[in-house]
Amino acid sequence: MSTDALRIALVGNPNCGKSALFNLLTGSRQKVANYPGVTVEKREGEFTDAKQRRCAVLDLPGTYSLQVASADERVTRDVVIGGFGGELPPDLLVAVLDATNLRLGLRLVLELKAVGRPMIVALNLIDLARQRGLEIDVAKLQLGLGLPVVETVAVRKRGAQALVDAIAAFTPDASAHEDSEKRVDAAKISTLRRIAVPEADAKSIQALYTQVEALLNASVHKNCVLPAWQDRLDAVVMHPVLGLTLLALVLFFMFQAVFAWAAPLMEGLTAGVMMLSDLVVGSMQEGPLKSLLRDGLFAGVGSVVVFLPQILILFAFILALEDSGYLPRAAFLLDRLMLSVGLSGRSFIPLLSSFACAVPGIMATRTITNPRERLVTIMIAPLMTCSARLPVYTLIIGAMIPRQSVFGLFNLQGITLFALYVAGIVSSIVVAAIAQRAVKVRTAFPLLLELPSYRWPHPRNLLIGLWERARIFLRRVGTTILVLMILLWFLASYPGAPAGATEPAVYYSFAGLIGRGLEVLFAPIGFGWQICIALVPGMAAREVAVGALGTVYALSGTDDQVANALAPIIASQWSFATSLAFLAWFVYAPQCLSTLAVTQRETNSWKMTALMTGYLFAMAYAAAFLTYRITLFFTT
Amino acid sequence: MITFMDGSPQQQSTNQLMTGVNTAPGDAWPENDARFGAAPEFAAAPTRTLEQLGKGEHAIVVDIKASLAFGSLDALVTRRLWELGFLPGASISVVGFGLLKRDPIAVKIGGTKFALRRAEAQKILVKSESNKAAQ
Repeated sequence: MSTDALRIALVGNPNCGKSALFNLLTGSRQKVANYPGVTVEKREGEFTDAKQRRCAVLDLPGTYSLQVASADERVTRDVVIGGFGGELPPDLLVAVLDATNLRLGLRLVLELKAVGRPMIVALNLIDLARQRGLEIDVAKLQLGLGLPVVETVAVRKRGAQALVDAIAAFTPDASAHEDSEKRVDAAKISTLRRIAVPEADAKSIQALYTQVEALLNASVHKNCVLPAWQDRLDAVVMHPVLGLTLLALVLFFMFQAVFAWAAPLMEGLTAGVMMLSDLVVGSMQEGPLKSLLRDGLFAGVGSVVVFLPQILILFAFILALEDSGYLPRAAFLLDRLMLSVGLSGRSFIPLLSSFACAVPGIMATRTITNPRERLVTIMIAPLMTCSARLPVYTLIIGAMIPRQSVFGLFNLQGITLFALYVAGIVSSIVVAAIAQRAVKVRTAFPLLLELPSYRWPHPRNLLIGLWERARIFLRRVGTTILVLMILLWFLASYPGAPAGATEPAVYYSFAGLIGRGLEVLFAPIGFGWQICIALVPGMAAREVAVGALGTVYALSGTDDQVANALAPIIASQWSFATSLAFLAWFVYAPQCLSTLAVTQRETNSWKMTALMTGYLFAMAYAAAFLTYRITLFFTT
Repeated sequence: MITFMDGSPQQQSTNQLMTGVNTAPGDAWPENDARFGAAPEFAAAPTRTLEQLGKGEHAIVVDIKASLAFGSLDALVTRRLWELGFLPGASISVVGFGLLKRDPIAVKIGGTKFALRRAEAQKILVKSESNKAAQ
């Protein structure tokens, strides 16, 4: 971010439509990173205003108050007040208000106003509020607040025009700009922080609310009324029995969709990759380069890219459920159940995200206020079946489990997949229950969860969210996975087989050497050297194991086998017991460096990271061992 | 409708704070007992805690009292409740309950719905609405 850009920060309550407004302002020109030192997601974007001035926009984590109760609320406070990571406060704050819920938002605006930074107030969701009967005199509100107030509709194409105009009209104080050349003085900041955020008591909070009421009395002629259908919907959605049934149905439908809807897209992608591969290498001479491109690049990377549809479908569901306001209700329903293992409804959203990927899931634990609950949630997040495990499950289930219908309604393959998900969840309950015993002191922590009104998820937000996920996934494919695939190809290709070799070439390669070394360790759970080789690059990302198997078998077989897909090879070469043991191993699948890295960053503890690695390996080994031995007992 | 029987024996075993408050509505506030803090403004009116309300019932917030359930975090919990609008005089209604032991509790206050646990709801003293809520 260069110095001449106007630095703008969006701040507001959770659920005020702030991120939608951010998406509207910046479009897809945004990047997601982490704040230095903490793993709170930092969303930044840019747009150019009418004066051709660059505006760098920061979407701060939602907060109810500058009196912080969690890690991301602390980030918001520190950025607003200044001094976060030695940075100056933003040139301009945009306080985003949910117009359907003015009271809560205005309270925060008054708190922010006390900090004394330049600020514009955006009445977001104003169309929805008017639809619900709100009659508001914006000029009077502006007068009362002493701040510019604009109306925004984050879900309409030019819905942020008034805000963009107001930003264009804003010129930062020249003296403040000069000040920015100097480095921020830590002592000054800490004093400022004390002044800006006085210790609150009932009286000062009441006084702030009295001001809010005065503002509302002066400007609001008619209040918003929540449509009756919302309450009727809540009567079902939040009903202890009906609500939980609905939740189970939603989750079941979601996972079915991930499996069923993605299939044609994945077949298309596979065919596309193969066509591209033939096109590129078809006319080439046989040799190391052709082998690298065909077996390392197209076969290896291609086998990972095909899982993009599944990941996107899963994220589409999670984003839509989040946008609609359903997720907090699910957290409400599950709170008591989760409390029995020492967690709360707050853990539900991070754990649900972990079904897509444990990395964003673990990062989402920052909204959990209780440090112990947060730690336990982080520890069990990798047990949720992430989408990276789907490739492995899909491959093995497709190869080994008959496509047989059960009771004419379900499919045996689908049931196996469901059982694998359940195995992960059950294991997480066991681990959480043990962890709860281990951390003896247990102070109940408030739930205090807002249940926002239901809204239709907006397509633009879904698309931007999905685009973001696709970009992150493809970047990983293009960097880490690409490098690993090439490295693996090298390990599996060199040194070549000696003259008169009886085994496939890969057996004599470096990879074969490592795999055969590991085989001693993994033989008791039924893993041959091919699987052992695949597990090594699988450390980088679980889905790489599939690509690695592809590489291993492609290189170890004849040309005919290369042309065929991986599934029939596995069906013919693996025993049923080995396949099930492999699935059981992947329920725990400890080998994911990204998860371990984010755990280390989040917990800031190598001990906890080592503990997670250790327990996951132990459980994976034990589960695979039991599965292998029991299946052998029944099948031989 | 006063539902003191509901859950109070349990509370006495789990939460000593409840003793004395539940004996009878309108009893003298234990002024000399520091744990209870100051007497609520509406001590004369029948005072209950939020978790004693039934589904769909409306009430007015009287005060938020200290609770041992949150340990050293109690002040933070109280302040967050205030900030979210659980202030004396606020109109509140119960939207629904969770599956087990009527926990958590969903309430509507100032046009916003929140989910609270019983432990938080027990901190919130309420009285019955005398007339129909303004909102």
